[in-house]
Order: sequence, then structure tokens, then C-alpha cells
Amino acid sequence: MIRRWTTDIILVGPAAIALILFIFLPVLIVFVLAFTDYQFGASSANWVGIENFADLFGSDLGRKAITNTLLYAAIVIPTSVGLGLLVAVGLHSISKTLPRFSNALKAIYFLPVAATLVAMAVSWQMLMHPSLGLFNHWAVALGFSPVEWLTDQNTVLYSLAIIGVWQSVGYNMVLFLAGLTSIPDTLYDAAEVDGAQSGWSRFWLVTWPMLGPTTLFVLIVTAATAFRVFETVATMTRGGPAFASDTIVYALYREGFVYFKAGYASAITVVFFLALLLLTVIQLLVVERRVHYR
Amino acid sequence: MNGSLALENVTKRFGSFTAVDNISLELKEGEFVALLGASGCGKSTTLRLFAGLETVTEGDVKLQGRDVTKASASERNIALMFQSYALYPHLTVAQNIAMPLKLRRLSAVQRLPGAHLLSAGVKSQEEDIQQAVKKMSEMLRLDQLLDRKPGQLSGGQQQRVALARALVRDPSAFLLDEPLSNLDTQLRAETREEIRAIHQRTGYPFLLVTHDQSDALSMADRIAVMMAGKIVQVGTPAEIFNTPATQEVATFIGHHRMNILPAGVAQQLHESTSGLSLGIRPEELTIVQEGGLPATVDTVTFHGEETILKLRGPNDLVLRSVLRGRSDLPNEGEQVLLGANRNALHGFDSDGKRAEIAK
Amino acid sequence: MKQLLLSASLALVATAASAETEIRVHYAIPTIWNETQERLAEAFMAAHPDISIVIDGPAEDYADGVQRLLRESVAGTAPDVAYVGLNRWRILEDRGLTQPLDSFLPQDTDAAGYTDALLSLGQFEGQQHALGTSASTMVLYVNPDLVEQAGGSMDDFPTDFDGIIELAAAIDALDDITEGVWIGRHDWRFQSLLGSHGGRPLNEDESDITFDSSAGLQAAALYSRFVTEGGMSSMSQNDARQSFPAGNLGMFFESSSLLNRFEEGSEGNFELVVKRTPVIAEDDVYFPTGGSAIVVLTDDAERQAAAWEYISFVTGPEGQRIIVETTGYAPTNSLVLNDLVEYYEQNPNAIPAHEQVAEHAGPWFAYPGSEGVAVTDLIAAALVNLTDGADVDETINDLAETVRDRLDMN
Repeated sequence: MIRRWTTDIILVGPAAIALILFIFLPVLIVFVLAFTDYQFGASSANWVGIENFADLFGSDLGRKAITNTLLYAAIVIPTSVGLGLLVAVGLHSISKTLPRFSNALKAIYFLPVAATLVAMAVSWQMLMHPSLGLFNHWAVALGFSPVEWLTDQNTVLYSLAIIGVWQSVGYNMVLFLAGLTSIPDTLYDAAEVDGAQSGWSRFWLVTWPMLGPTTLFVLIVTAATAFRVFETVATMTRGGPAFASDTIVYALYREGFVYFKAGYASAITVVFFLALLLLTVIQLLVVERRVHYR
Repeated sequence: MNGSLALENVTKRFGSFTAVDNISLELKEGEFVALLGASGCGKSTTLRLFAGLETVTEGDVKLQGRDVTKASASERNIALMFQSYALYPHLTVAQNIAMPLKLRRLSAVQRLPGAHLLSAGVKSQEEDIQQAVKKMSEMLRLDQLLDRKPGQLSGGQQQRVALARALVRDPSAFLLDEPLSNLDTQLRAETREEIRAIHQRTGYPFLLVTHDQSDALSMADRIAVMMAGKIVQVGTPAEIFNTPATQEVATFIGHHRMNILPAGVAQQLHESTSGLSLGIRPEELTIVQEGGLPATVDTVTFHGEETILKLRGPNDLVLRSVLRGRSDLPNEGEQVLLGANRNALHGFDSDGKRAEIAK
Repeated sequence: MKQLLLSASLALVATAASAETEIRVHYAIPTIWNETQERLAEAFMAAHPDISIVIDGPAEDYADGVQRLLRESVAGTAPDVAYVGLNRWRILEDRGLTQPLDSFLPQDTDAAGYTDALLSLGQFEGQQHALGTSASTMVLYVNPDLVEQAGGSMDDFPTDFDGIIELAAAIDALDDITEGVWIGRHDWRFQSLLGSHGGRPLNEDESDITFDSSAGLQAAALYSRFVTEGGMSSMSQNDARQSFPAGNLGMFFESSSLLNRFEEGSEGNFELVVKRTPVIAEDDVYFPTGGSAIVVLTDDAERQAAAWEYISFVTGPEGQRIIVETTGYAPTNSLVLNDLVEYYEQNPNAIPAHEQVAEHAGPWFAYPGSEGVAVTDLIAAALVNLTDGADVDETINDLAETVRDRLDMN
């Protein structure tokens, strides 16, 4: 009995210790730091209670980062999930008649997922360059006035959202394609026999409900990526101009690693962590019940 | 009104592969037809051509004399029960059964949740549909299960839901794709009776697609035997069993595979069969005292009501004999003489076509 | 050949045997400093065989570099000396990481080439914490082709902002693509305009914000005027740095350290000309100095002594000459100016930049305390709002209040 117990400890021990040492302990430290004014590199810190949290929700800058992130997510999540589904349904329906064309398109749509985002950000920067960029060349050629894609306070967040959508559509498409292949063909036959004459009504009767679990997963993944938006902000706008593209994770980086306000950055981390946790729990509890048909 | 449904000279090709090769088959009013064939013979494609789920490459489809070759499945109003049942897993039993009526009677807007609260017309339609679902579920003993999801039902219950969904809307014909293959032996027998009963009660033309000859023989008014994309014989179960049109049909039909004696050997059993090969069902091949075909008993397998002998005849020809209720069974290795009643012999010419045996 | 190898290895052995002290050096921005650092280390070791220099892998930029130094000092693996941004050594000083240099400085600093203006770049509360190693100030890069196309003249080039704005408007009107003038909406550039008007961002004892003075409002108003009168667009710093060498931008207020890069970029397009930033006030003019400073981090007395040897070498005439010739920065030692005659003949555009440093170099004011870096971003954001059309007085007064609040000055 004791021998078995020791074996268990030996087997589980190293992983558990690593988990405690490298995950739980740092998270715990972050939670503690969030209530201090600790400065990165400083030798001491003061206990400040909830001041950091009050700053985040009370200051213009903190609120702006939060609302920017929410707006970004509100654009990126539905658009990239919707487009991903649309592209997947389209490619799935031509995959039997034009397999090569469909495969080529799949690869093209998936490219942004496989590419390094930082390198892609440079390309986007060139496309969106106000005078040398391709976008404004097209805009002018089509008779529109040129757009300050990344340097106008009122536009920059939407430009980043476009990139965010571009980046996640391919991944969502692949997930939806996998979901579509697992729908039995006989369900479509049944729907047709039952009187669902149009592709539209078959979509709502079969495709959409059968993709429920896939959609839930895609939503969670897309939401997590959208709320965590950082690389494009860091490489293309640095949160600017005038904090117009400041997002929560970039603010976290800015406060912690540019301003060295480790305590405040920890508070942002804690809030962000709890918000994502809450979101995931809500999604799982509320939506899960409606998509798995048991 | 119910009516006849017919394929006329229909061919279906997928690329260079011909799945269905110039067949004609009619379901007459009130008739129960079985389409029998081994897997891959084209019978499922034929069913889909009847249903309108595939379009024909050549030929016509007629419904009550009307040309419906180009009409979609729902326009043909044909009910189809799928082998996998194809129930909508996200809908309850009641919603599954109601779906064909909803799709036919309500528009897309009227189907939106809550529409019945806004429109009296929709409300009365919905009530009618609920009535029809209730009636159908009582008939098929599903009334206790209406709020369950398909995932919570047994295989037999799922099948009854599939039946209910197919029958709820007064179809012009009812096609069943291997309805019994997913059921255990006991449930199978019950379901056969149930399907027969439904056929008699409703009077729709039924087409049963099956690879199982006992399903076809026991349920159908007529059987169409399909092989390699062609219909090789159509007839009553008795005709198919007693006068198979080809050697292939003869060996396909029957619980025990028919013995085939090639022309040379056949003459040792019956002199007047010159040039023909002979088919004898194992039940008809018996041990005789004199004047028969000499054979050695290889194995004796006891099956309760019957005993199966595996024998080696002339030229190492393998033969089987099924003996019923006999106590004086030969031993393995024993030499015996085999004989058969002359009326039980089936003659086939060199092309495998049925041929009369001269008297 | 054999003999050469033998002597080389002998030399190595000799170096290794006599090297008693090893000094670890940190630097940032390898694209500018890589070659310079190697040449500095080689020249220093040749002159001081008893000290060997080990160069850490460089940090990507000064911000990254300070982060790394903070991390390493927490872990106890900080290098002995470090090159840091001139506006960033205060972050290290604030955490007690820099070692005062006063006891090492020679009695007669002027004679050693350390002018008071240059020393001021590394002083805080009367103590010398850093010594400048390279300096840059904001100059005006001009595309003479565009100036002449717009009817201006390089010989009669405007010396005040009004003239520049007028010229900018003329260049901007040339066609849709061409821009007249551009300046970054950034703390350092704002401090430069402020200094030109004789203003300061902070008072003497750093107890109050002073950029809401009339000099400050004039400087801030320039941002607004560049847009409304000069047609300045809202492109980003990087966009502008591509537009100017491409020939799409007439005049560009930028750091003098970019001279080499712009000259290479514009080669074949046009012959760029550097002009000094206009000076408006008569007294108290200063230009905040960008560039790098060197600090001592080790607290070991023996290593500190060796570190000082290295520092006095790189800030002395020989080291400064290497830095100027390989980076294009202005020197931080006055003695070296006499040695650079040949360099100036080949690089006439370096002269206005170096003169400007010599005459008006002043500290790049860093805002004190933990919010110091954060408020520079607030200032930049306010400048963006100015170019987007916000009212000058209101924006700057609000900004000053916000900054006072953040820095606990109320």
C-alpha cells in the first residue's frame, strides 16, 4: 500500500512540482503584486490595496484600453466567425466539383494562420501606408479620398480589426470545414425529402445546428484571440495615435515593461485573467447546453 | 391520392461508372415491392432516383403518369426512411415528426420561433400540425417519448420516429432503405410485421430496398432482383424462389446456397439434361439407396431442426445437402448416393439463363 | 604565414595572462552601434592590456536595454558598465543602480573636454551619474529640389518657423502626394520646439510643470499651425522616415542621428541639406540632447576603477572620434572637434548638427518618479490631438494639470 503510494508520488511529483513552481506560484505572485505599487527593478514595494484596480477602471486611459478591446472584439469575433463559416460552406460545396480549385483556395485562406504575424504586420503596414500604400492607390483610383489607415484616431482600431479578421478567418474556416465533413450526407437527403427545398432552409435545418459544437469552439478560440490582441498593436501602432488603439494586453505590456509599473500591470493581468475566465465559464455553461444534443 | 411511381429505361452514370443500367420498374398503387440485391449492385442509387435525390442520366421518372424526371425530392412528395434513420439530433421527437409538415405548410418567416404568437393563421396551422404529430405518435407508440432527443432513444424507438416522420404527411410513395439491418433478430421480426401492417393500413406504394432475401420474400408483393446495375428478374416471391430466371438469381435466393452441377456431372443425376447445368437446392438433395450421384460425406454439421452435410461428388465437386428431422444420418467419410425429385431441378443453359428440362 | 599565426597566438596568450580585470559592457541598437562597439573595445584593450572588455549581446533598442538591465540587476547578473538612452539613465538612478562618477572625474573638467553643458546631460541633484557618449539634437532635413520647385531658395532659406510654414504650404500645394513639412508628435520633439522658444518642461527643482508657459503655448501652437497652415499630414514616424528619402516630403524635423540613414536613402533621388532648427528666443535656448550615456553599475571598487578607465577612453578624444566617424552622432567631448576637420570636409551636413550640439545642448528632461515614462506618452497623445484640431491653450493647460496630477505636484 505504502509502496504504491510512493510510486504515485514519484510519477506525479515532478510534473506537479513544475506546475506549482512555474504556473501556480507566479500567478500567486502576480495576484499579490496587483495590490502593491511595486516598480520593476525596485527593492521594495508598498501595499496600496485596490488602488491599482481603481486606477484601471477610473482613469481615462484604463477605460479607453477596455473599451477599445471590447470594440475590437465586437468587430472581430462575429466577422471572422461569420466569414470563416461562409468561406467553409462555399469551399465545402465546391470541393466535390472543383477539388483542386477548392484546395488551392483553402491553402490561400490558411496562409495568414501559418505566417508569422510580425512579418505580416510589416506587409500590412506597407499596404496601409498613407502615400506609398496599395490601399490608398486603389482608393484614389476608385475615386475615394485616401484613408489614414493607421494614423487616424478614428480609423486605426477598424484597420487593426480588419487585420485581426484576416488573420483568424483561415483558422476558423479549417475548423468549420472539419465540422462540415462530419455532418452525415443523409441528413441533407432527409431535409430535402422533408421539403427543405432551398439550400438556405437546409442550412438552417441541418448545417447550422449540426455545427453547434464547432461553432462554440470557434467562438471561444476567436474570442480568446481577439481579447488578447497584441502583436499587431505592438508592431504597427504601439497603441497610438493618442492611445486610440491601446488595448488591454498592450496596456499591460506598456505599463509593465515600458513604464515599469509592475504592480499596476499585475492588476491589469488579474482583471484580464478573471474576465477571460468568466467569459469561458459563461460560454461553456450557457452555450454548451444548447449545442450538444443529448 | 396515392399513385404509381415508375422508372422508365433509366440509366445513371457517375463519371465513367454506370451504377444503374437501363432499368424499368414500376410501383403500382397499393403495392409492396422489394428491390433485392447484394451491396454495390445499384439498388441504393435506384432508390435515390425514385426519391429524386439523384437525377437520371437517361430515361424518365413518372408519378401517376406525370413526368417528374426533373422534379426535386420534395416536389415528388415521396417519403423515405433512411437506413441510418437520419433524425435531426437537435430536435425533439415531436419536432422531428412535425418537420415535414412545417416545411410544407409554413413559410420560412412563419417557421421562426414565436411566429404563432403574432399570427392567428400560423397558430391554427401549428395546432393542426400538433394534432397530426399526436395521432402519428400514438399509432407508433411514441407518445411517451415526444420530448426526448433522438440521442436518448433506443435503435427501435429511433426507427419508429423515422417511420412517423416519413408517414406524417401523406406521401405519394414510401421508400424504405434497409429498414431492418440495424435491428436485432427479435425486433426484426416484430418490425417486419409492423411495416406490413402499416402498408396495409395506409395503402401507399412501398419500395423496400434490402440485401436480405428473407426480408424481401416475407414482406413484398413483388420482388425485383438487381445485379450489377440491371434488374434481372421481377416477380412474386414464389416465382423468384421457384423459377429463378438465371443461375445467378437462383444461387442468390434461398437460405442455403443452391448446388450447381455442371453439364457433365448433371447427366449422371438425370440423363435428359444434355447441355444444361442443373441447380438443386440443398433441401431437395437427398440420400437415395440406388441410381444416384455418388459422393463422399466430408462433414456433418448439426443445427437442431436441420443437419447440413458437406459432400464431395465427382470431379471433387462440393455439394451441400440439408436434411430435416432425420435420425439415420451418414457418418463423415461414408460413401453415399445423392438424388433429387425431378420437379425440384432447375436447368440453366450455358449463358446461365433458365432452360426447360426435357421430359 | 606560420610565423604570423604563432605571433597571433602568442599575443593572445600575452593578453590573457596580463588581463587581470574583465569588464562586461552592455549596449543597445546593434544596427548603429555594432561596428562602433567592436572598434572601441579593440582600441581600448590595445591601450590597456590589463583590462579586457566583454561585450554582452546587444539589446534591440534603449527601452529594451533598460528592461534587460533591470531584470539582470534583480537577478544579480548586471554588467559592469552600460550604454543607455540619455533620457533613460534616470530610471536606473531612481532604483539606486548607477554609481556616482564625481570621485573619478578630473579636477579640471573643461580641460579634459567635458564642457558644463555636456556634463549636465548626466547630472541629477548635483551628482554625476552618467556621461554622454554620443549626442544628437533635432535638425531640419530639407529636400532642396522640392524647395526650388515650390519657388523657394536654398540660399535664402527661412530662419524662423513662420517662413518654414509658408514654404511648407507652397511645397504641399505642388501635387497630391508631396508633403510640405512633418514633425513627430513626441515628447523630445516638443521639448526641442519648447527650448527654441526659451521654455523648459520643468522648473529648476523639478517641483512643477512649466510647459504651459507662453513659450510652451507658442511651441505647441506650431503643431497646430503645421497642420492648418502647412498642410502637415497625420502619417506615422515610420511613414515619414520612408517618405522623406523617397522624395515625397519637403522638410522634416528629425534627430541628427538619422543623417547617415537619410543620405543613403536619398542617394540618387536628391541631395539632402541639413538646416539648424530655428531659434526664436534670445535667451535660455536649449535643445534636448538625444543619444546615449554611459553608466557604471558595478559596486566593486576595483572593477569601478577599471570601468572608469574604459569610460574615460570612450568619452575622451580617441573614443569620441571612433564614435563620430562610425555613427554620425555629434561628439560629447569638445577636444575632439579639432580632430574632425577631415570628417567635416567629407560630411558637410554634419556641421550644423554638431554646431547645434556645441552651442545649445541641454538635457532631455525626464519627468521624475514612477510615472515619468508614462507622462511622455500622455504628452505625445496631446500633441496628436493638437494636430487633429484640438484647441491649443485648452489642450496644453489640461495636459499640464493631468501631468501635475500624475506626478503628485499639486
